[in-house]
Amino acid sequence: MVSEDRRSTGERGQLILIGAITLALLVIGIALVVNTVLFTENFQTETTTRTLEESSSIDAELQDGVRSTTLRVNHRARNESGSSIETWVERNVTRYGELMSEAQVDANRLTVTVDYDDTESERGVRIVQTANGSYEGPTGVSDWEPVTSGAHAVGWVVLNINASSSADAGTFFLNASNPSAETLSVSINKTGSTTVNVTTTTSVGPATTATCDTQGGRLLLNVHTGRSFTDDDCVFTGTRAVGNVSQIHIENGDVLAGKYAIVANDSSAVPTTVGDCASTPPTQPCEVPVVWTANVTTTITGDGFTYANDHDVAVYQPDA
Amino acid sequence: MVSPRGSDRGQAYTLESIAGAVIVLTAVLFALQSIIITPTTSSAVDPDVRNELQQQADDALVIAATNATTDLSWFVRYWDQSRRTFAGTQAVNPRVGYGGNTPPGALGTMLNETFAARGHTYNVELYYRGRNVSDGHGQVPAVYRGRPGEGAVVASHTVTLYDNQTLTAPRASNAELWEYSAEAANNRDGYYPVPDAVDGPVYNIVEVRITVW
Repeated sequence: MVSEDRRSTGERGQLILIGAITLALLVIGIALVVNTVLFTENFQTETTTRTLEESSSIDAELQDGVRSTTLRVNHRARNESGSSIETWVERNVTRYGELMSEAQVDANRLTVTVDYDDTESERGVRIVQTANGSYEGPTGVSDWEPVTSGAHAVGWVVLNINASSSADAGTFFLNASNPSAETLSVSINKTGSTTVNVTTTTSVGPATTATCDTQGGRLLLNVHTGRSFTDDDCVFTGTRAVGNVSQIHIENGDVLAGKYAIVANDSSAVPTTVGDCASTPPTQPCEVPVVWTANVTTTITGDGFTYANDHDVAVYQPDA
Repeated sequence: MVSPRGSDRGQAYTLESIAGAVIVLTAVLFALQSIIITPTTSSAVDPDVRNELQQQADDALVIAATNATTDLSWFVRYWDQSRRTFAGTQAVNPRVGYGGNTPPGALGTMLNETFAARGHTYNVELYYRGRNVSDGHGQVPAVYRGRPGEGAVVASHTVTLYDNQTLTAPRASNAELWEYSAEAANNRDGYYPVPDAVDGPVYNIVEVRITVW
C-alpha cells in the first residue's frame, strides 16, 4: 500500500511539472506574438513616416513643376485668348502630372495626379513686343507707361536687347514704383559694340552699376530679378527689391531696340493705347492674357495612404 | 488496480513527450524570430547606421537640388556629346561615368564630403522616361563604383527638364534640348540620351538615384 501511495504521489508530481512547463510555454508563446506585433507596428510606423516625408517633398516638386510649365506656356505664343491659354495650361499641366506619375511609380511606388482648375485660377496680362523694334509706346512716343498706376502687381520684366540695333548714344530709363512711393530707376546705355552699362538707383537701397556683355549681339536682362540670362556677372538691383511694383514708366524708349515682356496681375494695368496682340504688329507692344495663379489639386497615392492638397501656385512672384 | 495506474502513467508520458516536442519547436521558432528581429542580422550594417546613411543621402540630394548655380538640373545636363558621357576631365567613360572620380557641381561635393571621405561608396544613376509610355524608362550611369554591398541605402530626387533648356557642359552649344537626338547612331543632331518624352514645354523627368553603402 505504501508503495502504491508513493507511486501515486510521484505521478501527481509529474503532472504538476508538466502543467508548469505548459504554463511556461504559454507565456513564451504570448511573448513571441507580442514581440512580433510590436516589431511589425514599429516597422510600419517608420515606413509610413518616411513615405509621408517623401510625399511632402514630391508635392513641393509638383508645385515647382506646375509653376515652370505654366510660365513656359504663358510665354510661348502671342495670339492667345483667355480661354485658349487656360486650355493650353491645363493640357500641359496634365501631361506633366502624368509624366511625374510614371517617374514616381518607378522611383517610390507612388502614383501622382495633378488636376488643374481653371475656374479657381487667376489670369494676368502680358505686355509684350515679340519682334525687334524700338522700346517706344504704341503711338510712337518715347516716354510712356507700359504699366499704369493702380492696385496691381508686376511679376515679370524681361528685356531682350538687340545691342547692334540700339543707339550708340543716349540712356534708356525704366522707372518702377509701388503704392508706398518706393522707387527704382534702371538706366541702360551702350558702352561699346558688345557691352552695355546697367545702373540702378533706388529709394530702398544703394545704387548699383553692372557692365554686361552681349552674346550674339543681344543682351537678355531680367530686370525683375536684376540678373542677365546671357552674362552671369551682370548683377544689379532688380525691380523686385522695391516689392509690389504697380507702375512702370519708360523714358527714352527710342534709345533701345529689341523685344520685351512685362507681366502684371490685372488687365487694368495696361494702358488703353495698347491693343490685343491678334491685331497688333509684332514690332509694337500688345497685350495677351496669361495664367497668373494656377490652382491645382495634387494627389499622391501610395500603399494604404493618399496625400492630397489644393494649391494656388503663384506663377509670378512679385516679391520673390 | 494496476491497470488504471498504468494508464495514468502512459498519459503522463504522452503529455511529457508532447511538452518536450513543443519546447524544442518553440526554441527553434524563437531562434528564427530572433534572426529577423536582431538588429544586425538583416544586413552587415547596423540599422541606426543605415538610417543615418539614408537621411544623409536624402539631405545630400535636397541640398544639391537647391544649389543656386550647379543644381541637379545642371548636373543632369552636364553632358559631353563627343565623348557620349558626362562632361569634365573627371569623366572616365560611358560605362562608369565619373567612376572613382568625384563628380562636378554641388552634388559631387556633397557626395564626396558626406560619404567618400567617411569610407562609404556610392553609385549615381539617372533614370529617365522613354519617348512613349510603353518604352518604360532608360538609365545612364553617372557614377558607377561597383555592385552595391549589403546594407546599401537608396535615395532619389526627380528633376524636370524643359524643351528650352540647354546643355551645361563648358563646350556645349546653345542648342535647346529638343534639338538633340536620343539615338546614339545619330551624329548629325548631337546625342543626348534623355529623349523628349512629352509634347509641350516639358522635356522629360529624370530621377537622380544614389545608392550608398
